[in-house]
Amino acid sequence: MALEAMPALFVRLGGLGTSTPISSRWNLISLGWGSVKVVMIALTVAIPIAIPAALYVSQVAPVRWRVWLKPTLELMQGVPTVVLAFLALWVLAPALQRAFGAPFLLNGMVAGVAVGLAIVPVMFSLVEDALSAVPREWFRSALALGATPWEAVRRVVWPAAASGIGAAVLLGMSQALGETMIVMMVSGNATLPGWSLWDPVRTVPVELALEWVGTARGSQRYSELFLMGFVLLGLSMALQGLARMIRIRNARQRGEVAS
Amino acid sequence: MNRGFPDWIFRRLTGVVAWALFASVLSLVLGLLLVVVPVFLSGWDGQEGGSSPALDHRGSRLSLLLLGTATRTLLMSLAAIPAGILTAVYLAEYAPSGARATRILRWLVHGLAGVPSVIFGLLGLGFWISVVGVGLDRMAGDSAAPVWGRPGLLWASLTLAMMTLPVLVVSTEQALRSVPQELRLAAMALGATRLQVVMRILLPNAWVGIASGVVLTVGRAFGEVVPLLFTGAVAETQRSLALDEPFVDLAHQVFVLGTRSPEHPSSRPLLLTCVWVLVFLSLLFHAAAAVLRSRILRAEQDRL
Amino acid sequence: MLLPRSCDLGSSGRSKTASDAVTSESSPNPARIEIQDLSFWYGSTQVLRSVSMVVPERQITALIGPSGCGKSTLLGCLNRMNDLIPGVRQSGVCRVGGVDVQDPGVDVTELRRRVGMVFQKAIPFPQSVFDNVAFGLRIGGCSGSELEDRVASVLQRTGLWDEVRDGLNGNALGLSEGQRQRLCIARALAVDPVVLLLDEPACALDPISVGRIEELIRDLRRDHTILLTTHPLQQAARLSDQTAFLQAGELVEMDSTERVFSQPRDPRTEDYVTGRFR
Repeated sequence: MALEAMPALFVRLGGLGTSTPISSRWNLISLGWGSVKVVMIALTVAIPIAIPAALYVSQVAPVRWRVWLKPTLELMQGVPTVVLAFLALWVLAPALQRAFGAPFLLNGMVAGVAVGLAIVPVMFSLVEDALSAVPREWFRSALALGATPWEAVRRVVWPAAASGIGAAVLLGMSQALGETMIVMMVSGNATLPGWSLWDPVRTVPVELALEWVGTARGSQRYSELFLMGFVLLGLSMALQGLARMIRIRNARQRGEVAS
Repeated sequence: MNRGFPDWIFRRLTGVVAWALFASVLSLVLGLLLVVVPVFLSGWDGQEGGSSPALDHRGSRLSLLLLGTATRTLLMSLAAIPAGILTAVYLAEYAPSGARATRILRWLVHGLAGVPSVIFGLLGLGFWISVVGVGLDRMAGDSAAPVWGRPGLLWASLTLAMMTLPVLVVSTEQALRSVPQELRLAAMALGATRLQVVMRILLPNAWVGIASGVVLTVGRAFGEVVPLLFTGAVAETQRSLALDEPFVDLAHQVFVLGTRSPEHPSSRPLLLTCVWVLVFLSLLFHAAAAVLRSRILRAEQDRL
Repeated sequence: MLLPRSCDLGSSGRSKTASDAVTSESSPNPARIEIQDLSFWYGSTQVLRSVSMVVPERQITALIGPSGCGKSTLLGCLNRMNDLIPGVRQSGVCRVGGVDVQDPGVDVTELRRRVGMVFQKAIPFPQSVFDNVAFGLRIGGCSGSELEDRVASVLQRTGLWDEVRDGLNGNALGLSEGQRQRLCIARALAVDPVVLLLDEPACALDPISVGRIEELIRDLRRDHTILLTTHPLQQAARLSDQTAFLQAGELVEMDSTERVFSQPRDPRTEDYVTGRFR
């Protein structure tokens, strides 16, 4: 893959883009911008749902409800993304257009919201794990000192889980970044570099999925696609690696506690 | 200052969000399974009566789609599961722990486990088709019509296998590591060799965990579409199922029909049927994994 | 009392709370614990059977008994920490300073400030030493130099001051086991509780740390009513004024420590303290 991307890489680094047509560079920028828009909307949607839900399930809910809540919320992970994309296309997009009167049925907002909803289960599950990994003794000690559950969570549990929650958000972000099916079906797929969130957008993975057909092997376009794939690979590996690093460091700190 | 108030807000707010999420997930899943059910049932009723050729057609389309999906999932499992388990056993038991190479390998596997599927599609295209497939064709010498150097069932399956392999390794290694160290040490203290430890202690104790990881991963690959776009799924094909031929696929069909359906209302029943079957089977995988996991939890409680 | 009061915590703050309607200033012993007919169930398993006892104020009372006899459960009833356990049931009355702790009018957080607790496995919060001790004070709205003074004075009382003076901002998880345990006691003391519940405070520590903690507990007797559970019998004998022996959820005997160990009335107590088990 790196080999396939090499030509484009050299073109970009060597000639400062002089040998590539302007339109192509412009295209890359707007694809990146589209990805940023979709990921940001997705996180804005997913975080305020996943984190409170995880707080409730791990800290507030009685155990007898917890055993039902968590598996049910994780059930969503079993639904294939193509089905979620289908629902976003047939249900969410018309509903959003009716509610907000957007000029296009399919746009970046629909894609962002749909991706956001799609990453909620994963993010919830990871945040819940991070919160549950905080020793319950800390929560209990805080209550024994006269703290309310909220004070115990805010001052003890949350700080202790913060890095794990950060890792969960990074993983959710990585998933949003690479989400292809949903974005492909509901984003409108036009490469528009505008500011409006209600414009159709196209993201990097969608570009990869849509454009490889009819691109001759060895052409500049071909290596450009592989370059983009390479960047996407690097980004998501970096996010994964960062999240894993945080988690390992956390586990090591926990180890000290246990000893 | 009333300290009870923020606490009340905190509990109410998180509770409302969590229960709302719970309700929407439940209604989504049940909705997918129940609302679509009449369409689905009417399809089968019609087919049994053999009255409508359109419904007959739909039934045969559906079985073709299922056949394609089942074959590529099976081929993928044959390639990925043994390799994944072997790699995980190596990483957990044989690889020199702490060595730099092992650490790098583990980081790589964990990193790849979260890489978007579109990358694997591209990788399948760039490696299996452009390199291996084209190479095979060249060896055969007949350059007029590419046989292997084009998208097909085998390449799709192998691409999916590449995609699931790291996930399988991660989940299997985790299952192997959750076998208590004491058991392993006790076996070694009795003079067991490494292979005996693996075969008699690790695998028997970890198999439920391994199996639940495998089922979950295969289930996810079952509903995956994106890599297939690159490597061989097509909307329709006249050819019969063969390793070197493009094929029709259930999940892919949802994408195809879903994006074009407004103009083709006639394909709507088939689309809904596909969605139903896809959701049902995916949830079946998920439920099987959940059942296995609950067995682990129970076993852990027994151990305590 | 030893500590300045302007942070409006602990007993001085109590005069405004709902629970006080029941307490009334006339109650002579705010630190006295009375337990009447206390029974407790986890699901269908009964762990306490009609326990009745009076824990005298400003003394050390030790609860002894085999594992699972209900010692820790008994402590948990007194500051309602058992509320957190699902599927439990309780009957009977616990009064601290004359107030029924189960009374719906009782502010649970206020109760827990008055009835401090240190757990068997009391790991400090993953924060600095200072923040650990300051936790309860900050929740009560204490800050600034006032807060620093009170943290320092509590650390001095627990004998930790000289050991951690230079590392107040270091992570508390870096302390030794014995220091951690004393830090947890200091953390509980900071809000100036009238009663202190200690659940096996010196279990799994080296003898020197055990000695320090016992010394500390003995010192605390001057200002606090202390109820502790312990496994090593010698510790109960060394430390406590009163000893209560529980077996299978039943209070077998409670008397002055000397009597319980030298001339127990009940043969079961005698078996236990002399090490004859059946």
